Amino acid sequence: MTRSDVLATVAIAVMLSGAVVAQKRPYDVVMKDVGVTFGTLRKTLDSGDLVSVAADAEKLERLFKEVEDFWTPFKTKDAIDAARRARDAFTAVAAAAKEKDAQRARTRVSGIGAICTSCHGSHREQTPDKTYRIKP
Amino acid sequence: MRRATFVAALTLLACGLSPSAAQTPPAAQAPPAAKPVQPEDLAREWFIRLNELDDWYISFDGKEENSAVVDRFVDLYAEGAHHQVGPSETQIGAVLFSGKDAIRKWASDFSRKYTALNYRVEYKTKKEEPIQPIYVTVFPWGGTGASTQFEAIYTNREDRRQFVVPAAVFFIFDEAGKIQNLRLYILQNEAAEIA
Repeated sequence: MTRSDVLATVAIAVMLSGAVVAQKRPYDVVMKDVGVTFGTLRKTLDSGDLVSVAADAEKLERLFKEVEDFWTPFKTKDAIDAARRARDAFTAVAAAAKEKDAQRARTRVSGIGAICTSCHGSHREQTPDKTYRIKP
Repeated sequence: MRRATFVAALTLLACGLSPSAAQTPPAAQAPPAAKPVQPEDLAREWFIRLNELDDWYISFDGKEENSAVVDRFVDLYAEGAHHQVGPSETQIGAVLFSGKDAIRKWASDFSRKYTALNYRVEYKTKKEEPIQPIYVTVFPWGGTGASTQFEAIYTNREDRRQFVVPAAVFFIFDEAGKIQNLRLYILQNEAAEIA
């Protein structure tokens, strides 16, 4: 194997690994992850475990980046804006939790439900079998 | 008298019950002529299918699944049909789409651009009686035409702004009831945003 063969093999391997990382998760998987993590965050906030709150908030921040990435190709402004507002809110929750400011974390968490409701009202539709579909 | 009545009744009974009478097939009836397709019904169906162009979903892996409603809309058109609309942000002057493939492209773009579609024939009311008139003509060479004023109510998918715009549409249908030619006028200068 020549040196150029090795370089080509490495380059292909790097490209493939990038493609795997860049692959998007299905939207319903992301949303279920959001639901579970947000539920956990609220419980840990009530219990006063601010270290876990910060970790959950940071995870939710990443999840809403996935949500934003899903909507970006469609240029659907309200959905993109909702995802960004949710990310900003969770960034603030994580910051408050790291500073051990439970009251500020609670205040920021309390406004997030309205963002969810607004976006679900426009873009989520329940089917007769109780599953959901995404409206454009 | 009584005997005559009895004999008549017996005769009728015999006729009704005789094997030959029972086996006589009913007189052959011509199948009812198919009701000609009414141009106003065709025009109303166009509005129904146009308004259905927002009735689709995005799959969980991010695909815009609008092909079913687009196909249903395009099915109203004849092969080689013409569909002409006003200028867009990407083209000056009227835009003519010829053939089903081109019309499918228009319908697909339209269905992905707008949501909450509600194009409805404008009401005319007199003597407390509202109707949604569609004006119809029968062409001497065959086929029909229809036209109407309507209100185009739609929401931009991207920014969710909703508008109502006065509009008119003119159809030419072939004898099979398919659209041969359609001209759509949307008076964008008179558009009003719905707050």
